[in-house]
Amino acid sequence: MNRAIFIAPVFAWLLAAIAMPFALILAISFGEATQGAPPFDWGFSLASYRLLLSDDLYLGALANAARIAGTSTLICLLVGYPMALAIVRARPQHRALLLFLVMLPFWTSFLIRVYAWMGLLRPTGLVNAALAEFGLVDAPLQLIANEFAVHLGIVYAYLPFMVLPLYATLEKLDARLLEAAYDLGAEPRRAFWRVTFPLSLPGVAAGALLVFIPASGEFVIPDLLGGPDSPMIGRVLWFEFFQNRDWPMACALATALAALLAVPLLLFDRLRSATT
Amino acid sequence: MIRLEGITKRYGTVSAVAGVDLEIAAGEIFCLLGPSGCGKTSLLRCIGGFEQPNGGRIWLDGVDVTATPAWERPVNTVFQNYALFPHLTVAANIGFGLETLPMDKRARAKRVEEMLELVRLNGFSARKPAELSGGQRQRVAIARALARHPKVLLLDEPLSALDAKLREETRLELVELQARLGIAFVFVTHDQDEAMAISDRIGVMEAGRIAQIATPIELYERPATRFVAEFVGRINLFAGPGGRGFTAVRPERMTLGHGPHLGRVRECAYLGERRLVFLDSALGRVIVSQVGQAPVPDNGIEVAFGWPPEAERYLPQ
Amino acid sequence: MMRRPTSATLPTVLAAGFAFLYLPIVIMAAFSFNESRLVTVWGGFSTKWYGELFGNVRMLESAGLSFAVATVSATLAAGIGTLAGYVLGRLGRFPGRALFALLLLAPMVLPEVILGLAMLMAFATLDSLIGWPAERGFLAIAFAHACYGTAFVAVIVEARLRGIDPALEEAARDLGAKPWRAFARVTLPLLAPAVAAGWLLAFTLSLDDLVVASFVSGPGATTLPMLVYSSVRLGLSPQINALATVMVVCIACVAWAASRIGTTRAKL
Repeated sequence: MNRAIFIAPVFAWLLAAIAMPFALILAISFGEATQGAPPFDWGFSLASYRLLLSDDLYLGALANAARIAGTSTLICLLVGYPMALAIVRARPQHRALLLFLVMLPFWTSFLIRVYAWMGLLRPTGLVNAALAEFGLVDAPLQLIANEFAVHLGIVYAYLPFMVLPLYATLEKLDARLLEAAYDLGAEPRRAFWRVTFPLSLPGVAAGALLVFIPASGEFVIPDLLGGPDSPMIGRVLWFEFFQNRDWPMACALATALAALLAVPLLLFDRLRSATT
Repeated sequence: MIRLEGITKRYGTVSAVAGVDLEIAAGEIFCLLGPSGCGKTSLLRCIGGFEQPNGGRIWLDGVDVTATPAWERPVNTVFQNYALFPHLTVAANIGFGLETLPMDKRARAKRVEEMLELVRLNGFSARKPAELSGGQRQRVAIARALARHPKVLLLDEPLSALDAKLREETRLELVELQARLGIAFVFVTHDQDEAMAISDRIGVMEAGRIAQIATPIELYERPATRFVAEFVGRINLFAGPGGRGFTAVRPERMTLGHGPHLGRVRECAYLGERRLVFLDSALGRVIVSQVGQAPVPDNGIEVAFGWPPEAERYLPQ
Repeated sequence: MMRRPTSATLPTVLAAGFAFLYLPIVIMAAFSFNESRLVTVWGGFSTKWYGELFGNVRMLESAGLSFAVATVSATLAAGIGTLAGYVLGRLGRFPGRALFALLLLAPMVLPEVILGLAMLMAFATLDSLIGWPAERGFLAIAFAHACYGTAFVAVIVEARLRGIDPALEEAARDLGAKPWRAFARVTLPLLAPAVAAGWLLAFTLSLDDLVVASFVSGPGATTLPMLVYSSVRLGLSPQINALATVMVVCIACVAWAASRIGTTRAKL
């Protein structure tokens, strides 16, 4: 079998470098925290999961993450869909440049893009300075360290992930289908909702997944732009690990997050195999 | 029914349609025939409302529709490769155009049934386009376009996606369908056999202009230009009298074995019901088409050939 | 395609979207040339923060480490990712293909905190079993980043493979080339632009990563994002603005060059 010489080495790498670490997370989530190095003992204890289910901090953080990532994904869709449609309908010679402009922020440092918003949103930041300059506010608005800033940061950071898959599906869509809809008496708005939008649903699903999943586990944005009021799971996991040094708990949280994310991933997989 | 006045369509600096005047009567099958890039599809798209012409006017039933958007024109199109909505069932595809008409649900369902009946697809209403054969898809596309009872049906290369045998059957069906409905069909095709077989009249297009409009017989027997003569069927072209223009003779009007000219047989092509003999002669390359059991000349031998004077046609250019 | 009746809505939304994406970066870059220490008050033009930036030894050391990690991890990811993309794109069905694809793409779809934690768990377990890697530094971070980058390279390579006629490789085999040779002589050269694009993506992802590196690295190794993060937590600093501007300009140039390579190669 010739193919084996290609498949075997890559498969071995994937098992060692990906499957083994994830299996270890699952195993260690059943361990017990100690003072040693590494700070846990192997075992089969449900203590971490029991704590996870009984403490509002953890369940709340999971719920917050799902909620904030969900609304951010929706906003990304509402902003990103018209952008993708505008690029598809731009003159062909402009399309490559417009697409490049969407991709470019994705290539530039994530941390730095979040940092840029910190400078804008602070009480002494530019947005408040501008609002005060035009006399729109008397006292600086609290724009940072709250959920608003987290939403803004997520939309800002992940918007390209929404636009690109949407562009890819819309671009492949046969222009004649839209013409057929016009031909059959549908004016542009109707043609959009009856033909373009339903046929772009795979792109919508892919974009939503690409935004929702990383956003739900996001650490940097809630840490730098968010406040203490609504902790998200990524940040809680981080503190559990770095501050409390409770590895089994961190692993249990990671397992819970992965289990939750499996739901949209499986749905997406079903959708994709149903449409192809 | 349809009147086009001086239609021009440019893409950038390229003229796809360069001043076309045309009149198509109600109830006729009109065909726009030409090689790819001649502007026939652009012209059809102007009539359908998918392209805005740069100049000229389009009249439909006495109404100027030049600026009317596609969704308000009383014409419908059968697209090349059909453009069926892949996410909708056959019934939903056919019913799509009825949703914007003032009809109630029952009348709509009844019209869809009628259309399915018309194209003999009863029982297929719940299928998706991907579950149909090429011929069935084409019939759904026709039913969908006819459901709105258009005054004119536009068909963009409707047979090109079918295999050869099915194509011939479908030609006949289209002619029967048109006779039953009595509305104008405007076809676009690059296939001259197809155009000859189904059209009442044919408009041959060359480089954005109409080269000739005529019935199939006229077009074949009395082509107006060298381009038309060469595009429609095979033809022998000889230098015209006094070196000006051309004398044109169809291959089946040539005589082999007698006549004033001599040619050397280069090759014989056996095509079943007829045979093509290619000759090299002082007049240039000559094609003779023979039917029946005439003896086959060997390659390389010299034979006489000629044509009766009534078979020749003078082409000025 | 038909031009729609002129509607300005879509272009307006697009322009607003681009303003949203770019204004914060532009403003941040502008303030890196600010004389004043206050990051939001304009005090005159100055390049002094750039001078300070390039005199900051810790910053330069971190940058050096980050570049080294990114180079090694991107190269590793490009190698494995190309093979993995080839396996998925060309070799059809084989036992365990679904698991193969799942493992390959998991690092791309799962949140970084999970991936970082998983990598650390693996290193810590290895350390307690075989005493390596005791000092989690350069190699550990590079290895963790390679796992991440592999997925992206594989996806790009697989997409490019779909545009290459499989008959080319069959032709090579027909002409007597063994599978490895057919791959190396025919498919690989055609894949080169995709591999290069994948390498660049893996490189930038590694250069940019804070979360995975924070989990994996031991006390001695601080990458540039880790340093930026700890100083950002303390507050805004014009030096960070200057660093950010340098990075944005460099990456924009590289990305532009990469997209040029992509388009000129695609035309051939």
